[in-house]
Amino acid sequence: MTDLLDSDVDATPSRLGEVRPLLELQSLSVAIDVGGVEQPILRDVSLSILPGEALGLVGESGSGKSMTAKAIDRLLPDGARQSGTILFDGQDVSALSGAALRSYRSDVAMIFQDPRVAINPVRSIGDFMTEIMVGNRRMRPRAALDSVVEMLGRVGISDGRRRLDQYPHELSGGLLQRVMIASTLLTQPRLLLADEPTTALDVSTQAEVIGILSELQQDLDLAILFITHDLELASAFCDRTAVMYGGEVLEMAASTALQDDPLHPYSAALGAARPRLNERRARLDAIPGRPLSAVEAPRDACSFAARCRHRVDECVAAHPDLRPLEGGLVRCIRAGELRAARKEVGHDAR
Amino acid sequence: MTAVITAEASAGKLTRARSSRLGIPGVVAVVVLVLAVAAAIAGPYLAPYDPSAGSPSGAWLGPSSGHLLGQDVQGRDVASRLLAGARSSMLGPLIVVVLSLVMGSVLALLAAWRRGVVDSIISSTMDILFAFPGILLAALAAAVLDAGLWPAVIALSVAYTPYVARLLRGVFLRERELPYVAAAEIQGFSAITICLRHLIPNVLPVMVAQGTLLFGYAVLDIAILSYLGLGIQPPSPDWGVMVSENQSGVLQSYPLPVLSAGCCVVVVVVAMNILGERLLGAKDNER
Amino acid sequence: MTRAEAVALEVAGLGKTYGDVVAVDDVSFSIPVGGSMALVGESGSGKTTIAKMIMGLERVGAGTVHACGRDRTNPARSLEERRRRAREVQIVFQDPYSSLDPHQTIADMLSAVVRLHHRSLSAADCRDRVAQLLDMVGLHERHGQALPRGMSGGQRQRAAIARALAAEPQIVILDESVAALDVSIQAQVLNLLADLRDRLNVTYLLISHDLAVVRQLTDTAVVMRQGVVVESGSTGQILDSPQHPYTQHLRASVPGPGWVPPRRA
Repeated sequence: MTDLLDSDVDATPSRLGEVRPLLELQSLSVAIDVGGVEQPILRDVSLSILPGEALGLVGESGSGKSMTAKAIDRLLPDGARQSGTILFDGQDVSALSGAALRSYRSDVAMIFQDPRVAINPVRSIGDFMTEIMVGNRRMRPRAALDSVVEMLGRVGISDGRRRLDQYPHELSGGLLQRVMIASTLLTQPRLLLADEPTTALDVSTQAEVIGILSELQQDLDLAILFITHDLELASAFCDRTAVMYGGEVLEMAASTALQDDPLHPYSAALGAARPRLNERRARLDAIPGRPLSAVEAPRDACSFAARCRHRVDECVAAHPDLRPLEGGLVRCIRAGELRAARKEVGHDAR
Repeated sequence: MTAVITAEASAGKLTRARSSRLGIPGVVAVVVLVLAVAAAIAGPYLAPYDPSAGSPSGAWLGPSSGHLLGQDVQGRDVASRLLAGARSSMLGPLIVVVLSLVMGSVLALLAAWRRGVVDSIISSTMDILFAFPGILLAALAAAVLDAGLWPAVIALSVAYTPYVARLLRGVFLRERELPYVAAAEIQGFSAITICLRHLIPNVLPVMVAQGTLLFGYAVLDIAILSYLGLGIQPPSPDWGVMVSENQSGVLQSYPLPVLSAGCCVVVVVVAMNILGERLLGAKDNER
Repeated sequence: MTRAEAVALEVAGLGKTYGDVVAVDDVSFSIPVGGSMALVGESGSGKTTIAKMIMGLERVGAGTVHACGRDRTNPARSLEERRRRAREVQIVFQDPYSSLDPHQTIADMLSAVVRLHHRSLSAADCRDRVAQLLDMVGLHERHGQALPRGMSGGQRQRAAIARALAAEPQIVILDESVAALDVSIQAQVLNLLADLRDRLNVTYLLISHDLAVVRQLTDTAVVMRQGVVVESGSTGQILDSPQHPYTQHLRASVPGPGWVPPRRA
C-alpha cells in the first residue's frame, strides 16, 4: 500500500490537453422549483469525458449523480433551471434543436438501473430493437434484423435469432440489461450514459455486464459515463472517477489514485466505510450522520464539513473551490496538508 | 435524485401539493356538493311554498317573480320541490354507498387476507353478480318487495358490492404483500388487528374516493328507478319522480320542470365524479 | 462445534417445490446460540424461500425446522403459538421503505409489539421499554414520534431492527438488511448489528449476496445455487479459499483493485 502511495500518481491524464473532450460540462448548475422556492440539485459541476474514455461518477443518494446524466441527456424535469454549459463535440447541447438534436440523441445513449421499466413488456425483443433501426436509421426491416442480431452478438447473446421472438418477461434481468445495451448500440452512439446499470443485478451477472461494457468501450471507442454508488466498482472499471456529494464534485482523479490515495476526506471515508472482502474488521469506519442532498448542503461552507473528522474552523468559513492536487482535482482546503501527513505516517511505518 | 428530494420533503410540502392538486374543478365540485348537502339538510325549511300543495290553475306556468322556476304539471312550485326533494335524492345514494362499501371491503379483505380458495370463491361469486346490472336487480327487488326507496337502496347496494369488492381486493392484495404486513403477522398480531390497524387506514383514501364515485352513480340510478316508478313513489318530492311526472311537459313545450330536476342530478353526479377522481389521483401521488 | 454448544437454529433436509420447479432441495445447517451464519446466493438460489419457511411465511415442503430447541416445521396452530415463535425468531427485511407502515409512528409501532408480548406491562414501563429500544438502535426519542416518511433510509432500517428486537428474540434473520442502504449508512448499520450481537448474544442468519458484508458479519456461511448447497464452512475459509467452482466464480465477480471481470460461464 505504501509503495503505491509513494509512486508518482498521475491522476488527470495529460492527454486531456491534446485531445478535445467528447463531452464537457462547464460549471453546470441545475435548480428546481419546490413550492415556489428555488432549490439547487447540481452545483457547479465541471467534468469532461474523452472519446473512448470511461468516467466514473460515484455518490450516495442525493449526491446529484443521476441528475448529471439527465442534464446531459436533456431529460431534466419541467421547470428545472440550468446554468453553465454542456459541450458535446464542441457544440452547445442546450442550443440544439431539430435535426441537430436528433443526431445528438443518437450520439448519446442511456441505460438505466432497471431494464424492465425501460422496455415495453408487451412487445417482443425483435420488435423493440428493429423499431429503433427502422425509425431512426431508415433501414429496411430485413436489413435491420441482421444488424440487431449482430448487436446482440456483441453483448454476448449468441442465439440472437431465437431471442428476437421472446418477450421481456421471459428474459432474466442480466440478459435484459444486455438487450438494452445492444439496443442503445444500434444508433452507433459515441457516449453511453450508464445510470447504475448493474445495481439490480446479481454479482456474477454484474461482472458479465461490466465485462461487456469494457469490451464495447475498447472495440467501438465508446465513451462511457458510469454512474454508481459503488466506489470499488467504479475504480475497477473506469479510467477516471469523480466523487459527488451534495450536488457537487468533491474529487476527480484517476481511478487507481482514488482507490489508493484518495485526496478528499469524503472519498477516503467512503472507501473505508465499505466492509472488506479479504479481512474482517473489528469495526467499520462509519461516517457519522447521513448523506446530504444538494438542497440541504450548506452554501457557504464545505458540504461535507458536518460529517468530516478532519474539520477545522476554516472548513465552515467559506465554500471551498475545486483545486488541482497531485494530478487530480479536489474540493477540500486541507487536502494537501492531510496528504502530506499521511505520507509522513507511511514513511514512519517503513 | 428527484425521488430523494421528494422523499426528504417535509410533510407540509406534501399536504400543500395535495390540496393544490384538487385544482379549480375540484374546488368547484366541493362547493357544489356543500350546497347540495345544505339543501338536503335544510331544503324543506327553505322552500318558499309547500312542495306538495298544487293548484290546477297553476299547471305549467312559466317562471315568475313568485315562482322562479315556474310550476309543474299539478301547479306545484318547482323550486320548492327541488329543495324538498334534495334529501330523498341524496340520502338514498348515501346509504347505498355506505352499505356497498362496508360489504365490499369485508369481502375484499377476506379474499386478500386468506388468498387461495377463499379468494377464488369470493372472486368468482363477485364475477357472477357483476353480470347483473343494478337496475335489473332493483326492478326484481321492487317486484318482490313492492316499490319504494328501501327496496331500491338494498338492491343497488347489493349490485354495487361486487364492483367495490373487486377493486378493493386488488388494492388490499397489493398492500398485504408489503413487508410491514408480514412483519406484523410474524409478531403474532391477529388478522383482525392487522386489518383494522394497518390495511384499512392505508387503503382508506381509495375507499373514500371510490365512495364518492359510487355516490354519483347511485344518485343517477335511484333517479332512474324513481323515474321508472320502481323507486320513490309520487307525490313525494324527488328529482327522479319530478322528471317522470313532468315528462309530458317536454312535448307540450314546458321543459323547465324536467330540465331543472335533471340538471340537479347531473350537477351532483359530475361534482362527485370530479372529486372522486381528484382524490384517487392524490392517493396515487402519495408514495 | 460440539453438541454441548446449544443450537439456536437448525434446519434439516429442508425442501420446497412450486409445481415442477424445485426451489429448495435438501438443505441442512445449524447455528449455535450467539452465532452468525450467512446464507449466500444469487437470485433463484432459494435463500429467501428458506427464510420464509423458517419464519412460517411459507409452508415447509420437506424436512424440519427447529428454533431454540422447539419444532416449528408445521404452521402455528394458535395465535399464542405464533407469538411464542415470534419471541424466538424475528426478521429484518431489505427495503426500509415498505417494511414500515406509513401511517404509524415508530413509537406506536414499537409499543404495540412490546404490549403484544408483555400483556401485564404498565403504560409507563412500556414507554420506558420503547425508549430503551430506540436508544439501543441509535435513534433519538424524537424519532419515536416521527412517521417513516420523515426519516431517512438508515433511520427507518434502525426502526425495523428495533421492531425485531422488541420481542426479545434469540434469533434474527437479516434478509439483505443492509443491501438497500447508502455506503456510509450501511457501515453504521453493520456496526450496530455487530454491537447488538455482542450485547444481546442474539443469533444471526444473514441472507446476502454481498460477500464483503458476509465477511464482516458472520462466522460461518452456506453457499447456495439453484436451491442446492454447494459449499459450507467457516466464512473466512470459504472466502479465502473457495472450493466449489461456483463459489470461486462468485468470489472472482467482486470488483476490487486490479479486477478483471471473469468471462461469462
